[in-house]
Amino acid sequence: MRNVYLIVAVLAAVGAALGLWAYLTSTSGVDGTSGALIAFLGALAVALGALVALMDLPRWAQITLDVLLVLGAVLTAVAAWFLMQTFFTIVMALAAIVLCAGFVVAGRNSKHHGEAGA
Amino acid sequence: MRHLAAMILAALAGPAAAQQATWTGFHGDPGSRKFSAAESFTPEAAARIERAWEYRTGDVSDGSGERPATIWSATPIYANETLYLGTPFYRIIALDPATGTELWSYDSQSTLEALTQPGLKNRGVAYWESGESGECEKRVFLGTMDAELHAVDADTGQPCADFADGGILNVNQWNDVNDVFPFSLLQPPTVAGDLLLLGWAGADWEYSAAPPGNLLAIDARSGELVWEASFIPEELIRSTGTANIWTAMTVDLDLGMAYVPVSSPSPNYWGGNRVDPIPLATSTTAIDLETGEIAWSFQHIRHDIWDYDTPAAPQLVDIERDGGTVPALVQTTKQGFLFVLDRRTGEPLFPIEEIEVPQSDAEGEATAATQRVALTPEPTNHPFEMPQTWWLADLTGAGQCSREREQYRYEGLYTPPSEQGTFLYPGTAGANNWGGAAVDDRIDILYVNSMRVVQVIRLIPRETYNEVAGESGAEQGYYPQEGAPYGIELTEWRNWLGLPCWEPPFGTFSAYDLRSGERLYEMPFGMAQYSGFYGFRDWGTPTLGGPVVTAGGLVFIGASMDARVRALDARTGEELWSDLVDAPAVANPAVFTHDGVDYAVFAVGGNPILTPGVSDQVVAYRVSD
Repeated sequence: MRNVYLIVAVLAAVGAALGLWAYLTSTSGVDGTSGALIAFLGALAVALGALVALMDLPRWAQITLDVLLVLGAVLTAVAAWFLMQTFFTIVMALAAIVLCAGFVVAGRNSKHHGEAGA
Repeated sequence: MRHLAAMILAALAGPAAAQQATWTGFHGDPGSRKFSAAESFTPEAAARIERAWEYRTGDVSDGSGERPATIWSATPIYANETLYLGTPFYRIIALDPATGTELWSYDSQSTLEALTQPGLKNRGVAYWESGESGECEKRVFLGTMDAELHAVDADTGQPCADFADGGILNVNQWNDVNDVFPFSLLQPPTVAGDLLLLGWAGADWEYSAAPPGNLLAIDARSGELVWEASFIPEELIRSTGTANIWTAMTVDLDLGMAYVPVSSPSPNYWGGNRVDPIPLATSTTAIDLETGEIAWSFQHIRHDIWDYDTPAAPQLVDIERDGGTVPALVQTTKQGFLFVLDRRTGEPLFPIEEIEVPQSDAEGEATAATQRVALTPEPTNHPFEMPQTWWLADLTGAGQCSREREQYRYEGLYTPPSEQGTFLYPGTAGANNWGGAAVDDRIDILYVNSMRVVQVIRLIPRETYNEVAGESGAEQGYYPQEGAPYGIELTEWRNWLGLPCWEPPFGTFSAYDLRSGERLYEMPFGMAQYSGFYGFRDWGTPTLGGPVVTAGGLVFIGASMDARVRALDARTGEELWSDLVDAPAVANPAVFTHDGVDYAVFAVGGNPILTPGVSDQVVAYRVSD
């Protein structure tokens, strides 16, 4: 999962940069709005959360963080979509997809390891 | 199909299409048709519309500093091969229409305080020419916040010394009755031959006895007062006021008539001080340009206690009927009614119905028993029943909207303001406002945008008003109505998240066949935007500012809260092109032909009724080669 979190961190960081651009740039159509600020903070939180997820965490904390990361990425992607920020939407949707795909792959791997161990 | 056939006929025939497209007045021409003879703006060419140039006036304030916020709705004027702008800092700027290069500017040195309205407002300049050559034979006029009318030479920007006092007319000299506030000249004068027709703006909702509305006809050359028309009966002048003209007017030089949209009397939301009839208030009134005598008047609301001012200049159109042609006008209204009148007599061309209306329980109030409504053409915004409660706002507000729907008084259109709170639908900015409609009089089709906003108006007894009154601005908040037994609180009906409690669409765009009165289409228009988040397209947007229709078959319009300017297919209302600008482009665009190239120019100023964004941007568009 380490690579997954790294990819998500990068995607979300790109999203945060796009969100900040949208918040600050007059040609974005959403500059200075609370919506753009919220979306930027959402992407930033996902990026930071993905970096935290790289650390060794208790299982309950890891699961909680994983759920929050998926929720954060999806909700930020939705927010970016309603802000009509296409690239921002795409990178956050990708982050959510990568996370979900990573969980699926990790789940299968652990299942295989479990079966092999048995 | 009939509309399509008419459009084809117009394209084949139209003498208007052969005309040079100018834009010499606020609504394009003296008849306020907002029709441009520009032919290159066609539905087929919409995808090739591009920015020709962009210019910034530098005259902008968001209100965070010492200066009040700017509220800029200036329609550019194209005349004398030049583009003229008024700014909210009360300067005139002359631009090269092909490049946007500044040719000259003139600073009126107006005070930049919000003396009357809640911001530095300006709707542009007026242009007049004598037909002779020489200095100041072509003039540009600018009104200011402190009620000065400035006249400058259209070629140089130098003051015209023969106009009033060195080029400056003090209009406040005629503010001598109930002068509780000064006049402000925020709307440019309407030019009628050699006359300047001048209304003024004051402080809304502040006083019961206020300056009585009047129309001043000024000699464009000398600045002398030629005649004055008043709209409040002499015996009521000391107790009430306004019924002023704060918006543009329409002129028919052939009939020698001015058509004047008169506003409501004061105070706006209680009328116990003016229970006797004021027949000219909230009306369209025809005035003889020669004498200033009132030829006829059509009152839209009796005893107006909703601030449903007649908000826009009527559109002149000669309607084909029974094998002949009837000189008519179409008056858009805040209520959403389209009154189509014979402009010679004021007689309605479609049936007008009289309906019983709810009665007031406010102290001293005497509501009119009935009101006149126009059902044909169909109103622009379904005014008889406010929109249903929006499930999304109700859900996210945990039932707040449903509870409030039960709490406030509402018995249909013209439900009076009350102490318990009354739903005001349409809201105070109306279904239609100063933007008015556009008409293609080759085919007698009218194009109009409309908004659906629900507000809550609450009368607050005088004895408690000062204790509860809070802030005001952007046509919301607390206002004292001094001299009345009630102050008011006016709010938009939203849930705690800020979502509108009424269901979309919030704004539409429609076309009407004025021969039959039939609505040809009604489309959601633009996108609503709250906290940056856009709504779905079928939600539409509240709008301020109006459309322009072109001979090529495109309609240009800004007006939306999502800061887009758009081109629509006049045949269907379908959006064919849009461009993001800095703020809502609430000014009517100017569409004209210069050196053989058609331009559509938008002044982008914003308006706090829609969103807080402001700008000083001017953008010109053309069709690329």
